Amino acid sequence: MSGAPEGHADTGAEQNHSDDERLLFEPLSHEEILNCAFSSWYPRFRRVTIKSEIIKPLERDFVDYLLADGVVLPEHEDRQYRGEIEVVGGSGSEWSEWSDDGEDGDGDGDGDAEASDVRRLAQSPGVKRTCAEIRRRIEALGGEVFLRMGWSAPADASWITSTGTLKCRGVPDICSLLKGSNAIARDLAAGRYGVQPSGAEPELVLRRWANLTPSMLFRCFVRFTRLVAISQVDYQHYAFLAGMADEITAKLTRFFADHVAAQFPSQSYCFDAYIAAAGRDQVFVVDFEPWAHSVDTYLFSWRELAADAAEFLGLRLFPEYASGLAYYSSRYAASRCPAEVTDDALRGSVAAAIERMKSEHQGAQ
Amino acid sequence: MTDAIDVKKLTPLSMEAMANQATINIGTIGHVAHGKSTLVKALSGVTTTRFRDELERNITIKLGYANAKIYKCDNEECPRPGCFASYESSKEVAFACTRPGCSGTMRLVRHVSFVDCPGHDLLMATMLSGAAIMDAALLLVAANESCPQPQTSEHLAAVETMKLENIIILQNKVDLISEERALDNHSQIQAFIKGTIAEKSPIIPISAQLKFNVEAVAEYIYRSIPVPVRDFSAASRLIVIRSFDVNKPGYEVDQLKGGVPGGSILQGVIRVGEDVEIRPGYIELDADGKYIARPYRTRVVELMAERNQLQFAVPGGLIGMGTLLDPTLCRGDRLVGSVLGAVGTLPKVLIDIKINYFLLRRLLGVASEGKKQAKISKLAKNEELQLTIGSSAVGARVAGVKDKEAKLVLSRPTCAEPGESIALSRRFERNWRLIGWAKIVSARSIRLDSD
Repeated sequence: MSGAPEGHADTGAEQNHSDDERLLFEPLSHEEILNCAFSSWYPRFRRVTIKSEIIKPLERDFVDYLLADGVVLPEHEDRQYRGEIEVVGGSGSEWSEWSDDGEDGDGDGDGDAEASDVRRLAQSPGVKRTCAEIRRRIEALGGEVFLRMGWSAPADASWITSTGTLKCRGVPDICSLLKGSNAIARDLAAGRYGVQPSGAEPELVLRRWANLTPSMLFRCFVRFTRLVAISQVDYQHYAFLAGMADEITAKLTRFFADHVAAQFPSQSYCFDAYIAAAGRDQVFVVDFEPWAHSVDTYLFSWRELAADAAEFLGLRLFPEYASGLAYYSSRYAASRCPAEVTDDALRGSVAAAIERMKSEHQGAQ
Repeated sequence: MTDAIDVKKLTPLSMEAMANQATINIGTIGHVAHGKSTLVKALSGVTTTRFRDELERNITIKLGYANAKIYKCDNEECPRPGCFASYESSKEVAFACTRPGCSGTMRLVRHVSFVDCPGHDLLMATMLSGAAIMDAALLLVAANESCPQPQTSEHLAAVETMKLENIIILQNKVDLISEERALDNHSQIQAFIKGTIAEKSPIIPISAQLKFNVEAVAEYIYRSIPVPVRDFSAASRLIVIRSFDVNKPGYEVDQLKGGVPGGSILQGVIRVGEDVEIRPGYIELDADGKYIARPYRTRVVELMAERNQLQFAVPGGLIGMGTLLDPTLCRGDRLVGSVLGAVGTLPKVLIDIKINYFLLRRLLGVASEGKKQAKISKLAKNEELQLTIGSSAVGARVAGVKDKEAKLVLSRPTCAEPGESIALSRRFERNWRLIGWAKIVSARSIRLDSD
């Protein structure tokens, strides 16, 4: 059973390998982080990005509202559906007993401090003013928007909206996305890159809704002001991309040279670019990220990107032999389930509770 | 040709099914870096480049599953465990035994799908709803570390929740340690599994890296995992976990390829050429400000399991599907969380539900510094909760509370039926936290043409 240990390149050494990778990075400067805040780069890239509205500074009440435990919306939509509504299960009369009595407040709650906190904040003047501002800006952008804050979009909470996407038409969708997203909560509380840069202020960004095709989104890596690599972002093989590889590389290289290199103040960073449909020869920048370990490198590894050799690594596409179905992204699923099943540390204690609760519940039926 | 398939005679071991797709799902669990991915690589031959570090990132994209075929030599004289072998999913169903001097034929005996567990999105949600997606689990324990490591016990607990009784324990990395230490570690494992669901599980020493004893793993999968009992004649039901638009932007409509949903079949059989429905389907505002909810109806034009083309698909592994759907509807994983199945057989699309619920007294887990976890207050009118229904998540506003009953308005139409169990979560300290359980008593639903 004693064997040659040198074969363990990616089992025993797996962890170490990852730790080593962190050593490739200098600590991020506050300036580099701030450069990637939406409001820092948008004014310079207005002509080559999606039209957006920035609400900054945000009212203190609104930020406190986002940080408070529990979710109560400042307003909710009275949603009407087309078509016949029928009652299923139970008896039809049960539903009339439940007619909303309009009473608002803690219901039969026991005055729980957090719950009333978020309830109070949801109706605070600052939140009301912000909601009015949000409505004005949505209108200015044509009625349909997607949203983000300074560093992240609440993509992990898209399950919460009326359409199941990031498309928002009003305050209810926007507030539930912001309050339901783990990414937004992390950015506000701890900072997207683990630090809150001095001088950073929370900002809310509304962008005109665009039906983007994920296959045409690419992450470009810039090291010491030179474009070193381009990666496909969506984990799926798109047969048509291979034939377009040269064209994609040429477009993005030219876009970098013409619009980004002289405009973006950091030395090393990443940017996401979207190539619009054929015929409309246009490239948009969608986002900027610093050169940091916690930034997703998609089909490259940081080890490759940070290698000293200065050559251009080119465009990398998702290979044909791999199935997109086999890959999944916890990025978009982070808030789809309670922490009890996503967080290893909680799983141990949850199993027994789930069993207990299920049996109690079954017993009561 | 698909008409010839008699679903009543089909089993997970039918060659027509097993030749092209996995029919048994096996979760792989164990502490980080204990060798899960190396083992799956050794068994499935999946030569995926690990594109980049999968570990220790907040944002990770992981290889979620891989399929493997298990073979057994038909020569009775061929000694075990060498008479077993495992290969990639695209391998032919029979070939000459590779053991020198053996005249036997290696024949396909199992086709399994390894699912990275319990981190997989699909599993996380179904853990709460108790759906049985996994048929067995492989628990990896590194022999060169003390047992248990934190995730070893946590993952085993997760498996207990899923009521998985068929567990095979693999004592990995035995090549790195002396025989004495291996025996020591073996006793630690035995002590650890005592009193757990894995108490009677076999413990197999292996080295996934050196492919030492992986034939024994193949043998145990064959011998000790019971063939799952499936009802192939039930109405088909698939949970969508990804969906794609594979077209080049700007193409003419007549050149477009239909949308490509993919996911896991829970029950029944889906055939090429069959008409299927996807719920809740299309949800949009019309000009009058009213929401339209309309299921998608389409035809299955292609079925794929990894790179194998299928004429029909049964539960097991992940199935990709070519359809005639408008591809933009599938763009960017838009159908995730939907259910797909035979027309007219899917649950209703609900907009409000009345539930009978139970709340935990406190949040689960141990708070830091020995403090007790926060108390869970009663449901309050107008608060927004997260519901886990089947494999999907949806928001819900509490519209009324009476004793153990509450009325909830769903944030979007959701496919479910009265009697179904749901998990309730509330936002607490920057996470959704499980606060209780409920059962749908009754609901208001949108009547659809196919209901």
